[in-house]
Amino acid sequence: MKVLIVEDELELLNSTCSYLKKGDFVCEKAATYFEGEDKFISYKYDIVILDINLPDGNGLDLLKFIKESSPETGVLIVSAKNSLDDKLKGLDLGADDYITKPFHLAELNSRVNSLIRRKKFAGSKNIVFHEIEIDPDAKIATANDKQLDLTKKEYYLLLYFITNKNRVLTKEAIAEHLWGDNIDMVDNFDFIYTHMRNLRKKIKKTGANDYLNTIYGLGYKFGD
Amino acid sequence: MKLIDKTRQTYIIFSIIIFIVSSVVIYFTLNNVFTKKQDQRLKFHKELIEQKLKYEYPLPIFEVDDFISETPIKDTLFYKDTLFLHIVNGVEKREMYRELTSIETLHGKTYEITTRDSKVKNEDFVLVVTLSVGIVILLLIISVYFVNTIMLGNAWLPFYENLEILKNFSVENNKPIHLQNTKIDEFQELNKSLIKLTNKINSDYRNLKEFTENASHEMQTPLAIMQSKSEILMQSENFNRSESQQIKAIYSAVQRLSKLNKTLLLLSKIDNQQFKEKESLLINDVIIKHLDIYEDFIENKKITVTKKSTLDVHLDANPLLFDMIISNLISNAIKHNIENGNIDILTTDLFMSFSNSGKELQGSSESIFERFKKESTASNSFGLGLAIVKKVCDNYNWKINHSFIENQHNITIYF
Repeated sequence: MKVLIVEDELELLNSTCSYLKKGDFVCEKAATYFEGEDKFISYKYDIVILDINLPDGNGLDLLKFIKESSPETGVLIVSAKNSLDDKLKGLDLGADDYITKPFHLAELNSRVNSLIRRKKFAGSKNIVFHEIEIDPDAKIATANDKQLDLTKKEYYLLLYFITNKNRVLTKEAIAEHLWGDNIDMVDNFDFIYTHMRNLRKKIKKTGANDYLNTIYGLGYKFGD
Repeated sequence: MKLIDKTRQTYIIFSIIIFIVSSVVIYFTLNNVFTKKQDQRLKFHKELIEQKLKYEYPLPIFEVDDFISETPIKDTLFYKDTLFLHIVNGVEKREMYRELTSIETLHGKTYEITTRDSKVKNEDFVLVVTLSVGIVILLLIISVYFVNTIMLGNAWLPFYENLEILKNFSVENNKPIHLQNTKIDEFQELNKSLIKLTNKINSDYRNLKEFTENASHEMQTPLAIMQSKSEILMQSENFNRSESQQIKAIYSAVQRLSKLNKTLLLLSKIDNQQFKEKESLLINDVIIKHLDIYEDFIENKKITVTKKSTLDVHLDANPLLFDMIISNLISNAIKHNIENGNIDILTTDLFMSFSNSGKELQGSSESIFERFKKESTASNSFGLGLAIVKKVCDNYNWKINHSFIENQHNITIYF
C-alpha cells in the first residue's frame, strides 16, 4: 500500500509517516501543495492523507485534482478547523473520510485501514492475525475457526487492536475510538478494562493465544 | 421624576406666581391712576368753590355753618377715603367716597371746604379691567402650557424610542443599532455618539471573538505535534517504568489541553454563528443514538432510562449542534446521577425535558449554565457541557430551565 501524506507541519508529517510505516505502508511525504501535486502526478498512490490548510494553496483544490485524475485513490482529509462546512465540502468533492487535528495516530491508522478495506485494494478482504480472523463486512470475528460471540464494543475494540497491532494504545485513544470524541467522560476508564477482560476471556475460550498485553502506566498492546 | 414633569411643575409654579403678582400690580396701578384723576377732579371742584367764595360772596347755593375752632388752623389740603351712608330706593347703603377736605382763609375768614366723589364707579371699572386682563393672562398661560406639553412630548418621543432600542442592544447578536432620527441638535449629537460607541463595542467584541477563535485554531497544530510525538515516544521500548509514566503524564496533559481547546473553539464558533446549516431532525432518533453511545455508563450505574414522546417530533437545527445538546444532556444526567437512579426523557413538539435522580445542587439553578462551573472539583471534566447547551439554546432562541424537585434534577428546553 502506498500512502502520500500532504502536511505542511514537518514534525507532524514525520511522526505520522513513521507511525504508518510500522504497518504495511510505504509512506511518502509532501510538505506543500506543489510538492504534493508533483508527487501525485509522478507516482501512483492508494491513499492520500491531505491537510486542507497548505501554505501555497487550498487542499480542497488538490483534492479535486486527485479525484479527477485518479478517482480510485482514497483520500482522507485532515483539518485544524472542526467545521462542518469544510467537512461537507471535502466529502462533496469526493474525500472518503475526515479527521480533525489533533488526532491520535492510532485513530488515523485505523481510519486509513478501514478506508483501504472499503476500497478493497487488498485481495483478501478479511483481516487475519495468526489464528484470529475478522470479516469486516459481516462484522464477525473468529478465533481458531470458532466464531466469537462479541458485543458491538468488543468487536470494534478487537478490530482497533488488530489494525494497530504491535503498537501501544492509550486508554484515551481507545475511549475516543469507541465512544467518539465528544464524550466528556474520560475520567471513567473502567469500562475499557471491563470490555478488555471480556474480550480476553472470549478469545481464550477458543484456545487461541492471549495477544493482549498491558503496558504498565501507558495502556495496552496487541501483539506477539 | 421625568424631565417633562419637572419642567411642567416649574412652569406651573412660576405661572401661578406671575399670574397673582401681575393681577395685583394691575389692580393697584389702575386704582392709583384713577384715584389720582379723582383727586385732581376734587381739587378742581374745590378751587371752583373757592372762586365762588371769593367773588360771589355771600354764597348763593351753599349753606355755610359757622363754628369756632379752638386750635389755630392752617391752610391745608387733606385727601381720604371714607364710607358714606347713602339711600338708594329706600335702602341704606354704604358707599366708598373720595373726600378732599381743605381749609382756606378767604376775606379774613377761615373756610373748611369738603368735596366728595363716589369711588364705586372707579372700583367697578378697575375690577372689570383687572379681571379681563387676568383672564387673558390665564388663557395665555394655559395655552402655553398645552403647547409646551405637546411640543416637549414630540421632541422627547424619539429619545424614549431610542432608549428602548438601547435597552434591547446586545453585543452578542452583533447588529448595529438603528436610532430614530430627530431634528433636535442635542439628541442628534447623542445619537451620533451612541452609534459610534456601539459600533466600537461591536467591533471590539468581534475582534475579541476572532482572536479567541484564531488562537484556538493556531493551537491545534502544535497540540497535534505534541500528541503525535508523545504517541511515537510511547511506542519505544527503551524506557523504564518511571520514564514511560512521565511520557504518559505529558500525553494526558496534552489530551486534556486539546479537549479544552476543542470545546472553547466550539463555543466561539457558536458565538460566531458558524453553524448555519439546518436540517430537519427527528429528536427521538438523536436521543436513541446517544443513549446507545452511553450504554456502558448507564449500565454501570444501573440507571433506569424511560423515554416518552407524544409523536415523531421533527426539529430544524444544525445536526452537529443538536448532537452536542443531546450528548451533553445525557452525559450530564448520567454523571450527576446516583447508583440505581433513573433518567426520564420526555419529548413533545413544544419542549423536551431530561430528568434524573441526584443530589441537590450547591449553587443556584442559573449558575449551572456558566462556563467552568463544576459540581465536583474532583472530576476531570471542564464544566463546559451545560455552557455549550445554553449557548446553542441561545443561538436558536430556545428557553432552557433547570429545577430540582423531590431529588429530581430537571432540565427542560422549550423550542
